[in-house]
Amino acid sequence: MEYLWIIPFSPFIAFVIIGLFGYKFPREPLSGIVAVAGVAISAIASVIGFIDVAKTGGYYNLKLFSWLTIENYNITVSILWDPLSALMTCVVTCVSTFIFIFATGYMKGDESYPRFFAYLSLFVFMMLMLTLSDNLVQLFFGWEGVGLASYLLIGFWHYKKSAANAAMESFVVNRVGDWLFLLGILLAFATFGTLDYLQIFNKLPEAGYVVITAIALLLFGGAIGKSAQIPLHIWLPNAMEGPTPVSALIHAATMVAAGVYMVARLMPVFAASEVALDTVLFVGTMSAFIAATMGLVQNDIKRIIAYSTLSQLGYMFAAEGLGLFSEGMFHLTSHAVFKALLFLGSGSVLIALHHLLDVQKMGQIGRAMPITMGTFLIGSLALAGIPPFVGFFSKDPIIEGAYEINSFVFMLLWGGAFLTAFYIFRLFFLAFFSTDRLDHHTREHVHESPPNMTVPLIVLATATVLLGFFREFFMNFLRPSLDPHSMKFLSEETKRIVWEGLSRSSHVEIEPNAFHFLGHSLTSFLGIVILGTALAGIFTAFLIYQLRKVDPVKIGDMFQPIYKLFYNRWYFDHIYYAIFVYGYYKLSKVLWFVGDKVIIDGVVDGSAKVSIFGGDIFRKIQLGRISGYVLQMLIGTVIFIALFFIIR
Amino acid sequence: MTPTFETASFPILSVSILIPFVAALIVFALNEKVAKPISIVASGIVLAISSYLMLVYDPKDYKIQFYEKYEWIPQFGISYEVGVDALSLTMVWLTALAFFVSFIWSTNIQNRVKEYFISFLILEAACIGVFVAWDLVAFYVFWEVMLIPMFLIIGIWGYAERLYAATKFFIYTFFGSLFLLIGVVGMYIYNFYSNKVLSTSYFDLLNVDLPHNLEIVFFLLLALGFAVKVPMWPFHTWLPAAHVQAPTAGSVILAAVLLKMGTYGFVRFNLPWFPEASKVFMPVMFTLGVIAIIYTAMMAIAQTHIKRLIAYSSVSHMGFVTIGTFALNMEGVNGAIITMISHGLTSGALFLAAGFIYERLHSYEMKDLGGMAKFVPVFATLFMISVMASAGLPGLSGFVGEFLALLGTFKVSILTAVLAGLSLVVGAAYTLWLYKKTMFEEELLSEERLKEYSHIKDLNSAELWSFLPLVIFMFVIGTYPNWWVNLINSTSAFVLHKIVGG
Repeated sequence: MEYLWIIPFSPFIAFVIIGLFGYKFPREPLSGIVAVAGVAISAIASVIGFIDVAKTGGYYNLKLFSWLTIENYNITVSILWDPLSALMTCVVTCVSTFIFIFATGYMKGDESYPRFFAYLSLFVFMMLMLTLSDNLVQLFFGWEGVGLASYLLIGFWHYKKSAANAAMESFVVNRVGDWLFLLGILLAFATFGTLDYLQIFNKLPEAGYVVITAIALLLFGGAIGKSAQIPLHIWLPNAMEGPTPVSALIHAATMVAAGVYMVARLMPVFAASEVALDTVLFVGTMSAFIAATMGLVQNDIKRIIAYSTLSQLGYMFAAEGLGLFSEGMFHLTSHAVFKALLFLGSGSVLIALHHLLDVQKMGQIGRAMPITMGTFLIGSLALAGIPPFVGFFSKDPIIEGAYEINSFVFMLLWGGAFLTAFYIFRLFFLAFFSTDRLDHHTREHVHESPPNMTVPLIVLATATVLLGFFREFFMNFLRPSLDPHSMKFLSEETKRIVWEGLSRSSHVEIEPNAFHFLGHSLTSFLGIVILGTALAGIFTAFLIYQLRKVDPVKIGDMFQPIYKLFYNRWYFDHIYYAIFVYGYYKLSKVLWFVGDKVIIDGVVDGSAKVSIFGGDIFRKIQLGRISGYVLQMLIGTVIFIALFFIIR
Repeated sequence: MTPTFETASFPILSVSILIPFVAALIVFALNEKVAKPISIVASGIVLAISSYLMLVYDPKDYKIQFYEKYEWIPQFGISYEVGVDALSLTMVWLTALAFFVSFIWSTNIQNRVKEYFISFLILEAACIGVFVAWDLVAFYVFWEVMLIPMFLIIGIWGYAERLYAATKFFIYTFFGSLFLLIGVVGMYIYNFYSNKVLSTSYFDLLNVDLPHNLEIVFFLLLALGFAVKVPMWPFHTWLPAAHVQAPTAGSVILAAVLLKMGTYGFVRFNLPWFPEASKVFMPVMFTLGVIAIIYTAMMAIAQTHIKRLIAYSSVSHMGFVTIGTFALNMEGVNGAIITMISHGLTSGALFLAAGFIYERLHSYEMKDLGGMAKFVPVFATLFMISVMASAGLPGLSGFVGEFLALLGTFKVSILTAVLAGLSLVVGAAYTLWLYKKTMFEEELLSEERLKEYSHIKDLNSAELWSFLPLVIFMFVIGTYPNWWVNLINSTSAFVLHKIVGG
């Protein structure tokens, strides 16, 4: 399995080559080709590794080199290759490959074309360091590294003030999460004396419940930042300032899912604490619902999909919080595919419409770009959870599981499913059908995108159609990493703890086989209700935005306060801006003036002034006349004698 | 534990001190055209020597290596005693690197060229002297000699308010030094009083058995002297003033080398000499360190002058060194030393960047800057790497030290680590703010400004070659910290030997 090192380092080499020589390449596409080659090689290597591990179901731990030694513990750069990391790695590399190919078309003619592909390759390298890590420090390296890449790519068009601001916001907000994450690492090290996952798992029985809970919650704080969950979600919609392939790759398919992956990776730690699991469940559920409400009323095509990403990530966390880790990871995989498809589809629309983002100004573009429209429809159906698309097979089980476990969670996830179907089809009808609201000039130029953009769309659409039927394979495949009884690297005692922790979902039986699940869904009451809800969402969108039976503005007026709440994104952005941006900045200014300038420098410069002033006074005593000095001497003598008598 | 000595067969450390000094004499004798090449060669040789010493230094057991001792004034127990352990050595190396880089950078000096280079060369000799001296008199002489060239550098080649800044710098640090002097003399006298030995050697004073109250007093005297130099909050206000007015190379030296003297002093003297007092003052130092980290990070973001912003960021980073040192465990002290090295690299690079921007746009004020990235891609890249290293991105040097320092602190005070960790957020805020305000947002520029910008040239070769070594070592330390930690491990153990035993 030594070849596994190729997986992260092939994109890294591409990054170095493009970074150093990109601007010297004779022809523009060359840097794109190097980047695609870099990621394709790692995709091939990871698929080979995936097949390997699927056959054996074991795990490999490769230590590459020792980074830092603390006491007796070696922090190493290493690769842990088990079904979970293999799946995540394959998702990253395969989706990346198609997005890279798409980007060669999307970024054509941009003056910083090589820089774009250098950053993308850097991102993939960092992401793979994250997924392949066998310890928390390397994970943190990748974690922050993808944050850097994300910062650079959101700010790719940094000449725009909005892009520069969004980039900075994303980094700083992520750093809030990373702060908690780092504290989690410190606490883990102080508790276990090691940071290797496998060693931590087996030391779990020795640690106290409170400590484990604290570690899990701190690490989850990092996940809240990276996966843009409420309350640290505000950076993600603004991150749409980046080029669309970036939104597809980083802010939908891979990086933002890192939090979900991390929780699954550390499943035994989370399972060992009920409080931690409940927190994951609560945050995920709230995000799933609230983000969906925010997505309802946006008009920016990319932001709608961004809120949908928040919401879907919430579903994944909810699944994990319910104890259904495999379902969460399956939804991650499925989401990566159809969300990448949706983003790339919107990218194709943007190219055709000269970067017009407002869906209210689009309409009737479906006929001019049939491939984009068709593939976008597939993606939308998948997101809405309509069979036979993959989203149905990954999202419905989560909602059904929630029904069995927690009815509050179920209600929110179920409601979220309606909203999801509604907002994505609102977007779909407004953009591709409805009335023609394009201005004349743009209308003339609407065209289908070139093959290097449509082919990735078709490939991802095909995957969206087919992937769901492999549900059973995925469930079995993940078992050695997520089913405590099959996890070879856990000690018996840890297995018992994990099993107890997951007991909340032990009574839930979700059909792994796709066909059986479909059949069950169409025949059981619960299945029909959930499916019906999705269809109702689509139909409502159809009524309002296609047939125009109801005027959406009227509905908005009718529920004015709610509409305003949703439209202003529950005022999160406003409040944060007031406190953490404006407030912090003003407080700093005031502190600087009061603390440094008035108080500290007042004392410092004041004491200097006192000595100058004092010197001035004493100067006046230096008369330069003998008689004066004799007088002073006399006074001095008198004082001394007086003192002598007093002290005595 | 008395350290052993490995006497040098060749007085290589004395030679390292002498080279810049002799070079200064040569520059004095010759004309100003050769001043720069001679300075570069001299500092290059010193850099080569210190790099060589780092490679051959034996980190296994703690011994003072390349040791020399000559009697000086035996009646008073004063001798000339130099040698290095890993702490001294890395600081010497950092000094040599910073001066080498500064000399390459200094192309645009117009007035008093000879005096400029002479000042820097004497400063280099003094700085190296401070780090290698083990005799307190020699140490204190070097310590004070340093002030004069630095005073001249700020006062002569600085900007508009240079005299105020230079005077403030001088008086402030001199004020601190006096307490240091009193402390050292007190130790000397007490040593004579209790052991009947007159000696100014570090190692003799190491074995003084101080009563508790006296230990506290001496600790405070030395700490006050060092705290001004670090600078620790609330003794920091001389630093922004000095940095704002100092010429670019002066700022680089000030940040990369001179600030290290204070933390060097804490690690070298306060911990081994006053172990009990160190424990007593741990909470105080933690508090001051945390205030430095968070409060000055807020100061930094309130600035519109980019050099003042970077100056405040230095104070913030030195807060990590303080808390790491006073965590009084291996991780903490290792982290403090690595942060010292790393901060030397990153702050040096950031001041170079500020100098680069000033050379192009003739302003340090944010309102006059912005939107440069497109016109200077190579610079923008190196600047970004420096900014990220300063913000503590894993894989670059800043993270290693901060991680270790936090780890050490976490073991003794979770609250301190939690608060200090906030620098992840506030640190990122001001560094990215700096970058955004200087490099991004081209669309805010007016047409005329854009026309001016199109004439801006990217790094010239001198600038590139002074930037590159710093950036390369940010990667070296960040990707392979093990080598550095191995180097300093035994030294940290020695520093802590009275505190943790062994």
